[in-house]
Amino acid sequence: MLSAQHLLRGFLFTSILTGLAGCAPSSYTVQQPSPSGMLYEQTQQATTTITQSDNRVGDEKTFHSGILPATLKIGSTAIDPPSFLASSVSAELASRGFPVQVNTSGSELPHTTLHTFRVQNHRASGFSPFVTLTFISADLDTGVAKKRIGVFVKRGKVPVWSFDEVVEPTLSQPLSIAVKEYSSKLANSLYGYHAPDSAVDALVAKLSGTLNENSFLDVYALGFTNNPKAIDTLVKLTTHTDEYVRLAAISSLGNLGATSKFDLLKSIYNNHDGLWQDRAMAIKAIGDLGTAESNAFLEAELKNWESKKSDKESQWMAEIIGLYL
Amino acid sequence: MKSRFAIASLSCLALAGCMSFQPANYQPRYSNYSVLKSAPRCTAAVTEHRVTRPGIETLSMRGSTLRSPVGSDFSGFIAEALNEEFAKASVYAERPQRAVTLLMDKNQLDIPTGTGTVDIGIVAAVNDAQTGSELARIPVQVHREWPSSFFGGTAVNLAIGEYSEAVAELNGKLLADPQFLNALNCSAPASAQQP
Repeated sequence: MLSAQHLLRGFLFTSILTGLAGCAPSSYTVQQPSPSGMLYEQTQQATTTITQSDNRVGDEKTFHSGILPATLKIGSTAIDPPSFLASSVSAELASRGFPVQVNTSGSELPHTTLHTFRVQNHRASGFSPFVTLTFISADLDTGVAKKRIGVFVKRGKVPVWSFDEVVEPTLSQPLSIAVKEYSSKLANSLYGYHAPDSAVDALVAKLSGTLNENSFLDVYALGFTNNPKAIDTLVKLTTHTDEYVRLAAISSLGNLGATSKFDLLKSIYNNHDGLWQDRAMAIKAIGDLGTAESNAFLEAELKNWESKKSDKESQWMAEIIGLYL
Repeated sequence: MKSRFAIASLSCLALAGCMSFQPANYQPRYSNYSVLKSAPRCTAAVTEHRVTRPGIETLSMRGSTLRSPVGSDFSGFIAEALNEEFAKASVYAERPQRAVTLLMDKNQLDIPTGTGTVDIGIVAAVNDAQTGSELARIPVQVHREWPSSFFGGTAVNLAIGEYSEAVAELNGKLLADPQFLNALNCSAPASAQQP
């Protein structure tokens, strides 16, 4: 039986939690992604313009949603997702020696149709990490073929003293990674551009030393080289103890289109003893492979997750696979 | 002890009576939109929607209310859900070749302690956006049942989930309708597109 003292304690505890939740601000100022400057070896002349249309509908138009919705800003201006993506991708590709302007008007080829670009947050309790899932899904039409480009980034951080602590790791960083991944896939799909072996060697050398909290960014950079020489190193890192190094490695196998690693990715995805995020990143990487076999696998898994639809993880898995189908 | 229980129960009831809910964000279903991807289609969008009977704009759930997150009634929620299915199939366009009008004529949710039920009925009219001629008029209805709960909170949560499922089922039925698919086929001869 509950005593008055128990009720009072419960009330105080709830009040403290509510007060803490109230600390979450209604907007966050994120950083404009810094271009990587990773130069590509150019094998053919690139076009100077890529056009982009916005085909986001309904809930897809809400850029930042979830348990703690807030407006994302650059400076004092709320982010307009299509413009943000176009300008960030233009800057990223220019820094790679690929001076292409992405225009948000026009329909000239090559043309991209944006279906998804949004950030979803989640937090199970006041003591668990603030997690963000960043999604991009777009069709690239070259005039010869259409290709679906998907991007998924997961990050999390427990805010200890204030919510400002989550802005860089869970909002600015994943947006920057998403832009770089999307840019790499565009450059690769359009022109087969890749970084030279020396760039891969430099990153591998960096990752063979002691890793720090930002080493996962170098692992992602290996994937953004579009150079298959990085695959062996990435395979080793898929079992690393650092969660974000591991996730970056799994994701990057997809970014590199490592079709020979389909079985490895399936084994990570099917490991039900593993973390949800490892499995989620594995299915994202399988989506990146874009083969008939991987697409058939995705279709079967999407039907499976849609039939469950009872919990958050099922819903998120369906959303990740939906980026590709 | 009894008085405390009574006060707690009354407080809960009062709180429940004040609450207004919305269905969760709609997730397009692969089994729905993949039908559209199986062949080339015209661009399409739901451009107009409304309820055709008064009293079905919102739904009552044991004193709480379920409201549409889009527009003033649930025809807006279904319209947006269908547009999301179109977008996933890459046929959605703001200025489409086929303009779909949704008329909602049934919207009923019952959550007694036994079996919960939801019934939704719409009529989808597909028009050639250029000429304005009607190519198809398709009535679609769904009925779902589930074991409800004695406990209000549980019953309400179940009902909200089941309502979204009913909308997905409704869209699935419409998108699989041969008449609807034919109306979205721009290469079909005009005579074959008459309702």
